[in-house]
Amino acid sequence: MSSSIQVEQVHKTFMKPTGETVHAVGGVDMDLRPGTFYSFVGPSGCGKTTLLHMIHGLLPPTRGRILLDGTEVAGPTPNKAVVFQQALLLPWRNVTDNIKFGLENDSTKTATERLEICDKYTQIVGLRGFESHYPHELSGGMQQRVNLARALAVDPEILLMDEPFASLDAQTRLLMQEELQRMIDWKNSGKIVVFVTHDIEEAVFLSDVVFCFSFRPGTIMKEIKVPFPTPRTLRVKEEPEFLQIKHDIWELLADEARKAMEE
Amino acid sequence: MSKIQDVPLEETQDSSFVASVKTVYNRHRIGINFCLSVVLALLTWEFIDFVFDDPDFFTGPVAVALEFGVLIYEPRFWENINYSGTELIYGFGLAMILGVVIGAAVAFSRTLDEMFSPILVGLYATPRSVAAPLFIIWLGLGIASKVGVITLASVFPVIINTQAGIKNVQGEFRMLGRAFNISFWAMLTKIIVPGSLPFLIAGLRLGYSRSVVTIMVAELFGAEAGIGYMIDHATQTFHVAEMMVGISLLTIMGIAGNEILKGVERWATPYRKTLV
Repeated sequence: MSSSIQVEQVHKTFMKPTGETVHAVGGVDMDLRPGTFYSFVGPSGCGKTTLLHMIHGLLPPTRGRILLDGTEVAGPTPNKAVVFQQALLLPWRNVTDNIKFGLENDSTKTATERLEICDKYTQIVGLRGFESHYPHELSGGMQQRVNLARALAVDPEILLMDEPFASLDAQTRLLMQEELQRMIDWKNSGKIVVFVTHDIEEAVFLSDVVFCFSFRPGTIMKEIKVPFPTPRTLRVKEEPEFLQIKHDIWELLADEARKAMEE
Repeated sequence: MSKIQDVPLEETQDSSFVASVKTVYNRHRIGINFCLSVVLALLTWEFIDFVFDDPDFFTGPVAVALEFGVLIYEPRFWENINYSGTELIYGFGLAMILGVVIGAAVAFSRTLDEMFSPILVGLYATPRSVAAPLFIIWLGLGIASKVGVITLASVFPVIINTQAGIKNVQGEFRMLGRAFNISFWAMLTKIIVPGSLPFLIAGLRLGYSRSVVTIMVAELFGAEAGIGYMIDHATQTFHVAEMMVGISLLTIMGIAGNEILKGVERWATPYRKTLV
């Protein structure tokens, strides 16, 4: 089964502790189709993470609505999973038990089935041999793999990723970008992937579609389709067309980034 | 954090005596250091005794050990230990239960926190020696008043650490629980309890130390028996050796309980073994 998401004229306003009102998201429309990898790029504070949280159901929109298969999103459900910016692994659980965290919620599966699923995703994210390690014994990149495996293990139709590579070093980040495509395999599984990032190159490299966000209140300035077939290798980043897309997006975002900086 | 030790790249063929002593020391470092510190403390103690050389004024460890050997034949001595031990178990036990319950209540309810935190802080800052006579007036000279004083003295570190532990783990992992849509019960058993355990146990260790210290205070203002009572009595009759035996007993109770709680900590949080 595959799902689709409609975001219709969504606004979000916050009240700061100082009493000041912040208009974070300012009227976003989007139509997310199954089997597609979407990225949200934009300057800091453009409301892209807020929108991700609203799609997940962690926050309600102030105005507008978000529909999942025609019904309004009311809260987190098992068909959506999120990969956090910080790994948020439970320090008292080893790798296997951390991956199992979301699965434990699913009462239709037996303990053996859960273990088999954990085993499968341990393999997919390349952590075979580290099953009984605790989070503090893993490198940052490995912790993010567990974070990803935990989300993938519940086999969500919608995978929401909130700057998952932001805390990784540059080399690990590149390798993870390449591997991520194999690990998720959204084309065959019909998943919707939403990936929030600051990094234009990362967004273009991974996505089928890139949404470019303006500074607050965040709106979509442009929706860009990336034509290269997936899975891609890092060599794609050197192709003239890739560089052109990257350049165009930067042209679009530079002024917005400046606004964010001056804030 | 434990220090990272260098491992030689090549197997060094140093079989000298010094090298083998070093190897043995490195392997049993914690145990050896503990024994060294005990020996050093006893030697210093004995040395001070040697300098003063006045048994009515100061007694060294040897004299205390001899006094201990005499006292163990007196039923009164065991009665005192039993009395203080009972006070400690009830007083600290009550502090443990109340501390966890109150700590959890103020961690989960902002209203309770805002209403009671000032009172708790105020009570925490009140000297225990003020509370002791009051408890005697309220609860009599018997064991109940001592239990009350000990509970009052040791409940606060437990409350504060329980609250801090729960708040800390909630702050860190509430998002995770919500994102995976887990029930409150699952949040409690899978995140809050295991996550706040290290804080909780740290609170218990602090509380236990205060409990032991408070035995003395609790028994000072009138008691029927107990180690504090024994120390007080020995002081007034110039039995310095007996006094020192009492003090040593309190010290041993403090160390033993703390070691037991450290054991509980290692057992309950095995994942921290390589962390601390």
